[in-house]
Amino acid sequence: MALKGNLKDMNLSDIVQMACKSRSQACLVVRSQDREANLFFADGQIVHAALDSQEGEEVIYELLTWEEGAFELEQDVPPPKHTVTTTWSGLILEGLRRIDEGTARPDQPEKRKEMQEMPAKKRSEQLADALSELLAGSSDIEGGALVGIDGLVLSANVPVGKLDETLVGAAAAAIFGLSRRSVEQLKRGDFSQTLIQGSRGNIIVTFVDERNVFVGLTPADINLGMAFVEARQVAEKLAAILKG
Amino acid sequence: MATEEEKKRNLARINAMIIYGLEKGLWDLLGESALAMSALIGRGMLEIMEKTMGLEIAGEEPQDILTEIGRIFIDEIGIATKFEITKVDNSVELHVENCVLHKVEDDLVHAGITPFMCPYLNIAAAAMRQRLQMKTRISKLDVDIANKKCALCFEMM
Repeated sequence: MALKGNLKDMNLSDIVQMACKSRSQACLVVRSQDREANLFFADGQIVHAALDSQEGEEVIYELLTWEEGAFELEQDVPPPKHTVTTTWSGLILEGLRRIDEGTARPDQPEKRKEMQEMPAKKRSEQLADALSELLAGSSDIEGGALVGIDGLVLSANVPVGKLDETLVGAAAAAIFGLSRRSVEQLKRGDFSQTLIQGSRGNIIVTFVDERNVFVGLTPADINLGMAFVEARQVAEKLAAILKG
Repeated sequence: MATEEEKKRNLARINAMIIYGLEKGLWDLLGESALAMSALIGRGMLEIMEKTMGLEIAGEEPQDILTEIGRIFIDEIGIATKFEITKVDNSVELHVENCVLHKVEDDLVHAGITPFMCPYLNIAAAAMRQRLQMKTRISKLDVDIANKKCALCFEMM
């Protein structure tokens, strides 16, 4: 059975997430403006990607920039070869980071060169890099953001498409404020972590320092104990960067 | 029976009481995280200003936007008498004189609350985010009650 649709209605990161979670062999074909891209899935990961004469991870980064295109996900199709080694969540996070920086498409070499030639990185860039790296190395946390208690989103790396940063930042700060006030009023010591559960996943808000919190996103079907530990580890590393 | 002038003053007091009550209640509930609402509140204010009052805030630099906000508040609405902007490195400082909300802001500061419902602060934060895609953080808010002056500093992130 094949799943068909258009990227206008369902974005690539959602299709990849769904295909990887099923853990079966599958092939995703995306067609847009006379071009055809193929992604092959096996054992819960993307194992091969091809577009025109190009193969490997760069194809996925480019494909993430496509806003429109007919797609078809065909089950039980074995991969012809293995050209991708990064985890699917790492690929999505890196792809979204490149979109943010405008370096996801191969037709933007000047921008890429400009980025490479930039001198010392700003604190915000260091945080974005660190967050991307920490999340890529996490098995349970698929996205996250560092948010100031005044609602300012210092860095975000979330696989959920476009965010209303003002609202998300304010909501995260409010969750932190409410949680801290509750802990304080009910004599539960110092605030450490808050869990919010949704039908499609969880949100874990973790104390970073007096001015910031880490908001971690996880899928629904995970070991929560491990996710709490990973969220605290990410928060500790972010605290060290902020202090440094 | 109150005179028309007294009624106006009482109305201003009621508005100040509402602002004080809202800010104190939210501060008690959320603590410093209440500041996170600044830009959201500003978004609503900006919407009313532009859609209902027909006042548009535009500009390509933070100081242009802040100057326009100051002009509107003084020339069109008349809630303060003087508005000055100073840009230093990565921050912009606003100086407001004789603002009608000055007393309530001072009461809040004395109650240990950092005011987060101030039209300049809220609208400026929202306008800079919406118009310039620029994130800002309030790094200073000084209220000088004796001289009826207020200074706000926006740090560009």
